[in-house]
Amino acid sequence: MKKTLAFLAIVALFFSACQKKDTTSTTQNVSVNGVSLSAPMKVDKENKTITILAAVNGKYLTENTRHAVVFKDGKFGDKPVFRAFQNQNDFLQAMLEIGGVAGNNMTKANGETTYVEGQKIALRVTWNGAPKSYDINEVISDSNNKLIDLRFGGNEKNAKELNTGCITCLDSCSVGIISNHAYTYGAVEKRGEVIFHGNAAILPKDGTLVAITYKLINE
Amino acid sequence: MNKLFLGLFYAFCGLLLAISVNLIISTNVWLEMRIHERLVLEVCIGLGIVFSFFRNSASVALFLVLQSTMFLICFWLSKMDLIYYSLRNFYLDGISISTIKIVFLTFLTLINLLIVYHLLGKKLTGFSKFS
Repeated sequence: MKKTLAFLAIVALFFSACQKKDTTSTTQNVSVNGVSLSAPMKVDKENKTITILAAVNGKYLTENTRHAVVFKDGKFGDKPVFRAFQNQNDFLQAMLEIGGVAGNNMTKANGETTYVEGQKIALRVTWNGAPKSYDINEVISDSNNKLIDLRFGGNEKNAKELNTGCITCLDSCSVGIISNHAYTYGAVEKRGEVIFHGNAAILPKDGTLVAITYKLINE
Repeated sequence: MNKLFLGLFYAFCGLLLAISVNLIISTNVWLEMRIHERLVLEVCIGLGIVFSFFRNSASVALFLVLQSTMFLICFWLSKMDLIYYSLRNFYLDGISISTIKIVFLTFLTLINLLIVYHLLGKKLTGFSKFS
């Protein structure tokens, strides 16, 4: 028995020593499009853009999800295609600073019958070594081939209280800061109207740091 | 020492059970979006440890059944990689999926080798008879 335990302990030690270093420590100083782990958000008031740092979540390159971008330490931090290093509350304040107009029309009660309103947002994703900056419709696939139509929903109170970490949702949402006008709440989870997942043909491997840029669109 | 071994063994059995549960949960997006994998792992590993208090030997049959169930569900659902993402979400953030895969499969292989060794007649203390 002692020999068995000792053998297993030695093997465990061997593998713990062999483990690759934590990617967050090795990439501490890596900058992607001006954002890094030490400065995960960049606000450009002049161009009305916000860039945040995130990591690709390989799980959702094949699995269905209604979360595009979520702060990694939020309650739903393990559920998005992109795990952000920037929290949702500071992000929302930055959106207001650059002049974003929030819709604030979503509630839990009206979610299934209401489309999110608010200023239109363009979202682009890039990473070190990427051939270009990709539109959200290129990196996240919609099974109905509908275009993702992002709006600045706002939802400041819910975002703070519920602390889900949601920054960008893929259907209209009463918690996420930005969500998709193309579907009402429940389209993914309850009614199965659509399947969303990251585009594995374009996105880099799991854990790769990406820069996500949000830009206000004036119509 | 025997209790420590049994605790570790049944905790690992709990881990196999949790992976199977997580794989089944992944077939329903409503559940998948609400149930955190780490919670399932915590509950199942905890149950495994508690179960070990009532056992005097490591059940070879239980281990083989749980292992087979996990792989069968994986193959049926074609979701092999979800095993490793489940494990990563159990407080292993920052460790690459390939490392998790190597460590997990190594442990699984070692336990299987120990069981084969045991079943071939080199009776290891701590393991039950295969019955």
